[in-house]
Amino acid sequence: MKSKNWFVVRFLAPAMLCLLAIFLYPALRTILMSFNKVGFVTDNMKDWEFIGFANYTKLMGSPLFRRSLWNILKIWIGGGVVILSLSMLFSVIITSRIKGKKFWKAMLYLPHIISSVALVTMWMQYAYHNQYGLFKRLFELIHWNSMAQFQWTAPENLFLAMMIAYSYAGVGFYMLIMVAGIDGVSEDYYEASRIEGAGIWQQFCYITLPMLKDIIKRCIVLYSASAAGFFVYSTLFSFNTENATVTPMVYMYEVVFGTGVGSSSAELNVGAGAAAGVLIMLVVLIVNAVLNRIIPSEDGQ
Amino acid sequence: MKRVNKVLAAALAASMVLSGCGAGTSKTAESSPSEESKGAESVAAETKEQGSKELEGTLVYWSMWNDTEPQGEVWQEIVDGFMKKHPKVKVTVQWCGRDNKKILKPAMEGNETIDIFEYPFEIDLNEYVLDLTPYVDKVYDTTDGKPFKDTLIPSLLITPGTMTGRTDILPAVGYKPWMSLFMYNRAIFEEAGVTAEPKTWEDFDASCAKIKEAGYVPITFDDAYASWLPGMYLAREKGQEWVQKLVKDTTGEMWKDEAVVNMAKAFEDFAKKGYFDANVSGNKWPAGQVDFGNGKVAMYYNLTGLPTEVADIAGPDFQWGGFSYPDVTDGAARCGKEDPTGCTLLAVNKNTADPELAMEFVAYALSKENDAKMVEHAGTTPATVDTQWPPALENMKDALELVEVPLKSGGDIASNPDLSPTISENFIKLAAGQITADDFVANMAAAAKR
Repeated sequence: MKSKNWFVVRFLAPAMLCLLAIFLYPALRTILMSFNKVGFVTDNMKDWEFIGFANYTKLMGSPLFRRSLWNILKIWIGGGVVILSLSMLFSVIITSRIKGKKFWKAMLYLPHIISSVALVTMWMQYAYHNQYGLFKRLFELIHWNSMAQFQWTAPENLFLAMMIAYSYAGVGFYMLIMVAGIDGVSEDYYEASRIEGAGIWQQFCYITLPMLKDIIKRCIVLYSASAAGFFVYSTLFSFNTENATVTPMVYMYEVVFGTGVGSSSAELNVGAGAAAGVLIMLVVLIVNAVLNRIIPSEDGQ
Repeated sequence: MKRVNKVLAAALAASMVLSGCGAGTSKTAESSPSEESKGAESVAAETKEQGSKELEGTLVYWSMWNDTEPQGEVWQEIVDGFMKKHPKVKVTVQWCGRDNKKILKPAMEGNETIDIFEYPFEIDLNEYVLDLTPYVDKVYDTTDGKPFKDTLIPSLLITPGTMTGRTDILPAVGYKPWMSLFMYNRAIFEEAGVTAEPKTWEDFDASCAKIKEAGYVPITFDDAYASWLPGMYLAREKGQEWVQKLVKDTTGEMWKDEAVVNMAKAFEDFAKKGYFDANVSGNKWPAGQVDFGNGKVAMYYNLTGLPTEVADIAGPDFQWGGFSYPDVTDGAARCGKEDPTGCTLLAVNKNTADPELAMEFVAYALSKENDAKMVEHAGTTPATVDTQWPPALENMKDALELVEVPLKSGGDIASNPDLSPTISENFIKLAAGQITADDFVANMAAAAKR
């Protein structure tokens, strides 16, 4: 027995050391940084200036950071509901008896594999463009002039535009997971319900949903993780940091590395960035705990 | 068979590791054969000053360019040329790209040997730079008998100090000077009958009216540079320092100042008169500058680097012009004297082994001959006086050489990253006619209040 344990330890040790070095050490250092005033991200610890919770109070007092929290809430809940509902809808349609299943599956999944940069360039420079864009031409074609003039990329509409683009790319991934889940549900249940006279909606509510509870929970967790790190779409939709698209990660990048064109005397505030990172981590932990409570996992059915 | 597979696998793994190691290292170039160096030496011996210096040593240059960019290609030629001229000198280049902003400081803290580097002004590297004040007074091989500082455009000796916040020493010399100007289409101006560049806001108003009558759109802008227009207006009214205080104000009261109200009303007026392009509310970079390059819009407030950016759209026949941001009513006479200007900064490490050698290299790189190469190949502005300017920027030569007080972009209105997005957002709405001047002031005051 003892030799077996020692065997296991020797095999796990390198991986554990790597994990500690790559994940734990930076996490601890970031937490420490959040309580100090730090000039540049690679400064030695002796150059830090201890300021206690000042970074956190500054952060909560910053309208830009508060807006980023509000945005991430909208992305998480609003975006989550829309994306997961659409994924569910598509997955149910695809697993029903329609023609060209493989084609539709591929079409819906394709946006997920294309690089975000390429996709957003298409959205911004083609689909949403206010002079030569796809939507403008389309709406003009059907004489819906008020929509043709709709400024998709104006500050007030930019968030909506970004979420539409994000959903377009996101739906395919969750749809595929749910399709796999539905395929795993035994056909017998559906047959039995059809004999009893259940319609599609009843089949969905009483068979599909309960059987997919675990998968739906996994999808919610996956989506929450990707929403917490929402960064790429925000930076691609906005040249400089904008109120409409700012998220905590974008805020963190802005204060730690600085963005913006031309020259300005804006100072970097790495401590505030570290504090933002710590807050994101706390939010993720809380959300995870809440989800575990609300959706109990089914162990061994 | 099994053994062969194992050896093959090991060899492949080793080659992957080695190629990974080698990927980031610097490029070196060999020194030239001795006949050519003798020729170069005799030519150098004929020059008036100090004869041919037998220079020897090594230099390490960390470049902000990539070797595939036009500027990078010119630098490679400069490095090769210098080593050819001084065969006992070896120059090693590390092509960092724009990531130099992130890796220079850690590298220097780790005592990495770096002699010359482009200073990324957003980062504070002030403790690592050599004060170049005594060095620019000296004469070098390539300066034709004149002190180095006399060969450069004067602003290149001033802006390094203002850009890095060090005015007590000369932290770097500049090259590729840039300026923020109202870039305009001279063909449209001529057609509309605007004969002179506007110097005051009234002139500006009148010019816009004429351009609108001629059927063109007077002004457009992109979201990326939106805050520069109100920022410069305020800087013209009250100076850059006031703008810096304004954005850091936490009571919201400064935003209700008359200066801000005047500025908001001026732009509200322009929006009402239809001087802004109808699409400014949704313009995402580079939509606005494409409109300008197309010849649809007459003016676009931007940088002197714009001609290179829209070269493909504008074409070779585009008649470029640029004028300084006009003076405004209730402001001091600042047009033409105070403008955002800067340059690319070339600095020398304080701990460099041989400062003289480093300065010789810098002087060589910024010599007329190499400067001309940079202008021609990379389409940049010249660093040396009397060098031929690229045709697109010829008309702006005076503006660059006459600037007295260098400002930061947009009068430094973007110096508070927390408030900057709100300023841009509100200005876009003001210019699009969606909010009034009073709304603008109220929104900004509310956003600034803590």
